[in-house]
Amino acid sequence: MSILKIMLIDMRRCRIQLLLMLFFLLIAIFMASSGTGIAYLTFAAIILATQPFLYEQRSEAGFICMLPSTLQERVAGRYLFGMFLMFLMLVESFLMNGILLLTEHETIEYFLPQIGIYWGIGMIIIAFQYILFYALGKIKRQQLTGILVMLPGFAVFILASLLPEYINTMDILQWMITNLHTIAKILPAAAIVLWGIAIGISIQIAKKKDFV
Amino acid sequence: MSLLNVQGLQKTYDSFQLKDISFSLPKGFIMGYIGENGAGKTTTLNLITHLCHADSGTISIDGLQYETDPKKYIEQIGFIGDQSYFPGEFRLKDIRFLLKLMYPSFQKDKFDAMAANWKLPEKTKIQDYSRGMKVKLMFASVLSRDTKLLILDEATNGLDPVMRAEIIDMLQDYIMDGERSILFSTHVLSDLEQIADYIVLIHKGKILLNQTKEELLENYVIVHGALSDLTEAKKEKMIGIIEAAYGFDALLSSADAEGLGQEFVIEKASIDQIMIHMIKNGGNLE
Amino acid sequence: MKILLSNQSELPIYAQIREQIKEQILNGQIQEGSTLPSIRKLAKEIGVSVITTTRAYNDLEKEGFITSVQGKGSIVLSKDNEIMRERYMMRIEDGIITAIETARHIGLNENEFHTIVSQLWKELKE
Repeated sequence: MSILKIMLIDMRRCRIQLLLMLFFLLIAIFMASSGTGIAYLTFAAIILATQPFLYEQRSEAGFICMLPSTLQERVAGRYLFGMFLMFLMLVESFLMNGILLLTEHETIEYFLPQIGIYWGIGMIIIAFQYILFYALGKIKRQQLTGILVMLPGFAVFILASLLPEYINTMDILQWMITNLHTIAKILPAAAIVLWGIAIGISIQIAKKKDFV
Repeated sequence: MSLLNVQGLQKTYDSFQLKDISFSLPKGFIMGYIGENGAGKTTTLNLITHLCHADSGTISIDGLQYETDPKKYIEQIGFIGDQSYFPGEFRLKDIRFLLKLMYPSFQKDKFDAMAANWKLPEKTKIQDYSRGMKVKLMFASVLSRDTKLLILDEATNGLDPVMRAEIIDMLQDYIMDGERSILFSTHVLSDLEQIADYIVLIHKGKILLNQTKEELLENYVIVHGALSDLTEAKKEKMIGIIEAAYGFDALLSSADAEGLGQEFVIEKASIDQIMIHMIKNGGNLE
Repeated sequence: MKILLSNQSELPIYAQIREQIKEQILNGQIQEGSTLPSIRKLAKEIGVSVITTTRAYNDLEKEGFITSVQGKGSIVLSKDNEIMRERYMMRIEDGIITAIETARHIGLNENEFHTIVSQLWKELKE
């Protein structure tokens, strides 16, 4: 299918980023016991997912648009690339947990709910990032793009790490814990629905743009 | 039979506008698309390759419009620009992968033969290729698959004469079967003058000229002379007078040049000169 | 066949090609009955545009030096060649047939027709 072809091209182009994702697994393993391993992997995936857009900011003409493909295929293929990174995050989270199990005979607390929530959040953030990139088109100042990319991911990670210190987490945590499993199931589903909508929105935005 | 048909193209940017661009390129011929920097050449080509959307107008390649079958439309085009459009991080094997993946008509042997012939390095990243190598890579990727329209955007700029001659050879080979055509946008008009069949001049977003090269070269001459020798009547006939220290240069229609007088030097006009004087004349050939 | 083009020449390129081929036909360097390279092949070999060689060949054909045969290309004729004359005769006859049919269609008789022919013959001098 043509959408897969576009995804393959993005993957080939972002070889380094995919390798980085694997490398981050090693780092995440060390963070596994502290409980932020999954968040870390999500953060990595969110940032790496933007790479194809960053490449396109650099070259003059969108190289992918020179290829025989429809706009819809290009957008969907791009989103598929993002999803692949989140898929890696999933796989690596499980691997990380497995290694933890083998070496220290314990699993990450609330492992499955964490997966559900972080995956859902990661997907949603990537979707927003992608829509943002499509809406902005060619960004005039190169430095801005770097900052823009880091922003959403940073926000998530900082929130995840500092939340307990600044907010009355007990009540929220209570509520979350009681509804944890529900949230963990709804969020991913919501994320996927949002993705479908995001792809649709991105296509509409991109239709009006040049070099997309 | 026209291969490329452009009708009433219009595109507005903040500082520039492409107005009512129309021309037609028959099968088996080469069209030179010339004009100053910023005249609208690249914009037109971007509209034809559908990198940009036109505000209005139609474009068809071999009767097919983009909207009817976007993939087939793009497949028919072989584009060669002055910059490589391949990702800089790619190497030759990545290009092969890409071409095989996206183009059903891609012939790996042909590609490899050309790459070997031009000694394109396997291990080097595309971004580290020399300009000449980048152009050759683009040619290899375009000529190793089936296309109907070759579009060149300043493709020969900065190449040495040997390579330019090679390219001219390849271009003439391309149209040999009389079914495929080439649209060639360039400043280096000396290449064009030889092999172009048609010349289209664009200036400030409008088409000023659209003729066969033969007609153009036949219908105009360059006149050199002293300003003092110009009578009012003669001055009126001159196109785009450019004054210089020693006298003036102007374009003149061949008909008007007959019986001009011994005091003037008349010689054949090059496409370059026709373009310069015409633009100087406010975009008119009168 | 040799073609040497000069940018300094007075003649436009297509004319130079035409004249050089003519020369070579007239002094036998290009044999009667031989086939000239195709328009496109010649264009490539000398490095000129297709329209240029087309024009040169068209002129040569008009002047009766060559004829183009479908599927074979352009063949060199000698000026007083039987086949050449026959082709022209056919063209003449075709033209006259059309004229006669049209004349009859509007009711002209043979004399009136002959008058027109004579008149036009005199008017068109060449």
